[in-house]
Amino acid sequence: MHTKFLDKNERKQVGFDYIINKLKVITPYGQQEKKNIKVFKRDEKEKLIREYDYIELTIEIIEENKEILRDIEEILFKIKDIRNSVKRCKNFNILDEIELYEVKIFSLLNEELRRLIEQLGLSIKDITLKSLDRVIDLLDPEGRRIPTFQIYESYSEKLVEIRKQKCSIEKKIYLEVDEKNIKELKQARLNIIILEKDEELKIKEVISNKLEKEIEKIENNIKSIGRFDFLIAKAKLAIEYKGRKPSIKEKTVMEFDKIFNPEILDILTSMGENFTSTSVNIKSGTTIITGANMGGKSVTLKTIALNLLMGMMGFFIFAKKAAFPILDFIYFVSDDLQSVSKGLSTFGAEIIKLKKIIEDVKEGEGFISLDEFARGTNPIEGSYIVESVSKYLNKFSSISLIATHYDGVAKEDMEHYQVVGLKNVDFGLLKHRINMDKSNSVEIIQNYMDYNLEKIPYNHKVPKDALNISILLGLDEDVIRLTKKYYDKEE
Amino acid sequence: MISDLIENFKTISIIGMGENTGKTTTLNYILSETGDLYTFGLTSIGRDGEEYDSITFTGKPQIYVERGTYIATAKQTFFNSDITKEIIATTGINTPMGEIIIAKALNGGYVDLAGPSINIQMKKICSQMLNMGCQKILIDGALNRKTQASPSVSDGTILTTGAALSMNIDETVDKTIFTVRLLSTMAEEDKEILTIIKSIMDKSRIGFIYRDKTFKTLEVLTSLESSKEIVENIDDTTHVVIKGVISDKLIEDIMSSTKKHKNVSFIVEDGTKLFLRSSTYDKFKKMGGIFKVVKPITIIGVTSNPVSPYGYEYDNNELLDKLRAGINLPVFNIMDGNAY
Repeated sequence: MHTKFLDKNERKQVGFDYIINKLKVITPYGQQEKKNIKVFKRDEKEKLIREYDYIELTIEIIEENKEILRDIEEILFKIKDIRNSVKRCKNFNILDEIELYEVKIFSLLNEELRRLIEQLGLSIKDITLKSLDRVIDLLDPEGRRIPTFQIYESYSEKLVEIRKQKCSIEKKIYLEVDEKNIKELKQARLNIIILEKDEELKIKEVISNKLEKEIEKIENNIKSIGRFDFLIAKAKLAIEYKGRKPSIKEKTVMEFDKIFNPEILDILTSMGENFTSTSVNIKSGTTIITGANMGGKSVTLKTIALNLLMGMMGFFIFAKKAAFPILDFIYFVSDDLQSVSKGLSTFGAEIIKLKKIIEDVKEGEGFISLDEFARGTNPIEGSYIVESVSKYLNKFSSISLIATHYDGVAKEDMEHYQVVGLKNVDFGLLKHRINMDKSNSVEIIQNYMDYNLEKIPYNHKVPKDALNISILLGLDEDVIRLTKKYYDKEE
Repeated sequence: MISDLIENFKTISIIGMGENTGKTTTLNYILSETGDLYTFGLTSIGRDGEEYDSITFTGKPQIYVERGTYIATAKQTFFNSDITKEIIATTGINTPMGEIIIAKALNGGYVDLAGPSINIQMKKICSQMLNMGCQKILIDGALNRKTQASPSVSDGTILTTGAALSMNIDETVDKTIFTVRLLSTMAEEDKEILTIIKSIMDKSRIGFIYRDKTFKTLEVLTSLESSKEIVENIDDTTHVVIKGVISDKLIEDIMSSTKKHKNVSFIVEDGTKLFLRSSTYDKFKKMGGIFKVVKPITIIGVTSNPVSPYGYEYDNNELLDKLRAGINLPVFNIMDGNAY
């Protein structure tokens, strides 16, 4: 399926699935909302901003009313899926006892929830629980307000009569000793049971029809409960990762202050590693990112793509501050193995995607991230392609972020960022530390690596960290010496 | 008296040696004899659709409950019951016959039962009914059904047997005595070993515990076909843990290719997992093998039905005498209520 906002596989790659799994809705109705998560479109700016406001409001509520919230969640856990019964009721089917029981339980819980929401003073337009008093009266004609249901005798005088007969015949069976008489009595009982079932069915029909008149309210409440459940989950997610409300720009620029990717944060934290967030401002046209191997260029691209997607879906952003416009598309292209398995070479798969990007870029404004594009083909041709694609995309108002190893891709009219990498590290000291603890060389380098991006002149050379890392990881000295000769020639 | 028998047990399962041995009659007997002493909760170990059909169409006596009794049963059977019912809870436990519903009988009547088929769900249902105020739970159990739930979920088990098993009274008696032995298989009592067994059963079908209390597990699909793997790995072993069934073939295969099972405990979840002929069982034990279970089944009594629906019957007293001679438990004929 062609999607303009990352396909299934790309969403997983950038860490979207991870976040969605962390989004804990409680009710089946919240589940429905979660399943229907969609990107807000350009003409839905107000709606999107309102969604952010709702999350903000919900966060406040969660933090200020912990006890009420706990009560609310307790109720949410009890709420069952009655959508099928609602549908059947709307189609004038007769609901059975179990369905009526479930509608009754739903209505009782609804009233509890309504009171709690009133206590919160919550004013969210989408969350307005209507009173289901009439439904409760209908399903609890004796006003006992306990969470059970039966076809009550108060529904029909005839039923009272039938059940009286049933009872008296059962007493007779109990006292009778003669087998033949018992058999006759049992037959008589069976006839009464048929009458009882008939009468019960009639009552169920009447109740179902009366219920149909209330169904709109029930449906409204189902929707509201789903929205509320979903908003609580979103707010909790924001609280967990200290997410922030983004601002929506009219102009095509993006500003991210200390943006991060929760999946990577959690992995590194669980390993006891440090984690660096990134700050970057990008505008229309092409921005080039270069930098060391192991320097986290891919992570930066994934993090930006993820946060843009989440933001446009009405979530808070994982950053200290973030601003971006509503976009028509988000692309993330990297040479992952998944597309290779479809029978295309990595490069082939990249080109197919690029074709789509170029179609879209002509028609709308979006975000394009290319991670080491054309890495799989020969480096000379690859660099030609990356250079031309960068130049081409630079003409459009879409934002293109291109991470590359190749030198000379960045031009005067493009932004150029570089991963700080090992630039500021005392190389001798690092080498010494690795010599002391050779088995952990990779981890040590990662610890010294500065993942921050810095803006540099367009014609700044790609750093020669590849050689440094080869030395640090203890590549054979003869090979290093031979390699160094090439560097000398270059200079 | 049956009331003495069940007095000390909260959840009681009733399992039959075979069809028509009087399981339902026993259930009804308990309900009618002690119905005014306790509030009962009733359920059954679930059955699949096929078995359901065969049961409904043979016109067997259904279970009769008194007013005030709770039942936990799947939606389909719930609607089959002719009591006037009050729905107390929907459980969220789904079976092929629908969600399990707990209801209370507002008057006496016949109920059709199909409960959960997984131990964990059965436990949940029982504790839910106890919380609702039931004092005793009766579980219509299963012995030969392919369900995961077993009588080990209950505190006590009543076994029903009868003439329907065989025309030959001695064969029926021998089978019954042997079944009681299998079901009463001793539990492993070493707490440390039990912890190891649990961790083995959590992730594998077969495991071995060694003298130094280390263990290993094997990746096999079923325990039935793994005699070769067991023989290869039995060495300095104190326990062989089998999650699933131990069959005649498995034990015969092991006995024919090794002697290392001497003094080794073969552990199964409970006695219903031992699907063995008495000859195999005795031979294995004679060669020094041991069977033990994780969850013991407490058999509290046996009920016998001397009448077979196939048109013959045993002498009632002969049956009772022979059973009592071989089983050190109360034996009743539920047809006349004559115990001891």
